[in-house]
Amino acid sequence: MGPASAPRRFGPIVTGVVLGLVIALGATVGQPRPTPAHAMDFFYCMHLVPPFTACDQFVGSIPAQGNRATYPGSGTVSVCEKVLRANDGTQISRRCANTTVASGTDLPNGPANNCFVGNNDNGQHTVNGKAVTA
Amino acid sequence: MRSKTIAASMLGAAFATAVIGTTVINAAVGGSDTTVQPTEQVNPQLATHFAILRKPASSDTSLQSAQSAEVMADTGVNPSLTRTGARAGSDLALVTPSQKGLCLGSKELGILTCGDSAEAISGTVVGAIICGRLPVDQVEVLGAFPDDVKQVEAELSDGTTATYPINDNTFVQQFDKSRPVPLYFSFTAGGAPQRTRTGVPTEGSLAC
Repeated sequence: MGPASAPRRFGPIVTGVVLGLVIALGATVGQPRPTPAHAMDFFYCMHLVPPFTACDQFVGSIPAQGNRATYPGSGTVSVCEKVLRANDGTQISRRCANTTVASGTDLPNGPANNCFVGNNDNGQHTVNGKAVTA
Repeated sequence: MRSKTIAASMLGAAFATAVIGTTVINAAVGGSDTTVQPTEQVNPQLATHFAILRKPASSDTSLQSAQSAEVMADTGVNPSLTRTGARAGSDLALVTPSQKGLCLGSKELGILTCGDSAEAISGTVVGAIICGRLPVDQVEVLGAFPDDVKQVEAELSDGTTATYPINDNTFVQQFDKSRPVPLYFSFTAGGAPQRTRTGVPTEGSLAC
């Protein structure tokens, strides 16, 4: 085994690394939102929302334990989060604040719920939603 | 030899998928929510503007779990450094340091909002709880203000104004939804006039 044989020895490993990267990249293509960044966080909305309007919702099969709205741009914009209990539509959380707002202790463990975020300003702004599940 | 080649390829693929692939997937999701370690201290610059942050942290350990801070974990908020602010009835305003600045909440309702240092110093860390664990006919307004803000003037929903004192750098008060509620706060912070929404929606119903 001389130095010249080293590339041949590592060839299969390099091939495997390239194959793995292709698999990893493939997993990201066409992935629908909401998408978990890790086991518990789901991101939704993340686009321009008209003034005083709620954005699309995150509907989980398990209860969200937290919901958050964030304005990702510069300046001060009021945003809102809202959570409805899925089985009866009861509004169990609704909060608004500048830049970012969270549901705090509003969400009990119980039936699954539907999370919303919204724009509480008179201009059009991007609003990022984040739901946290157990 | 062929089986060794296949094994080596699979090993490489597994490594790339597990290590490189995870990074790629997380980045593709947006990368907007990264893991941030809870801050271990109050931001020194912020402490010069907030007397409440120059006080020791509360020794009431129940405040740590009471805040439901998980959804704000990416701010580096550290509930063990919580300071207690103004009181409204049985509720208590809480100011909690984060890596970026501070978070504002209450003992009974948990974390409401967070702001970076610039936002905190400008007095715009303000928000409202319209529906949740409070009576459905009430709305709670919370704000964190720097030392030079001794009071705020509120523009109420009926067009009138009212003045409220700021205690311990915080404002917390519940309002009856059937009566005028504050929509904007005006004040002077750092010599500059400020006007910010309280969070109480100016459009639509406040019903839960």
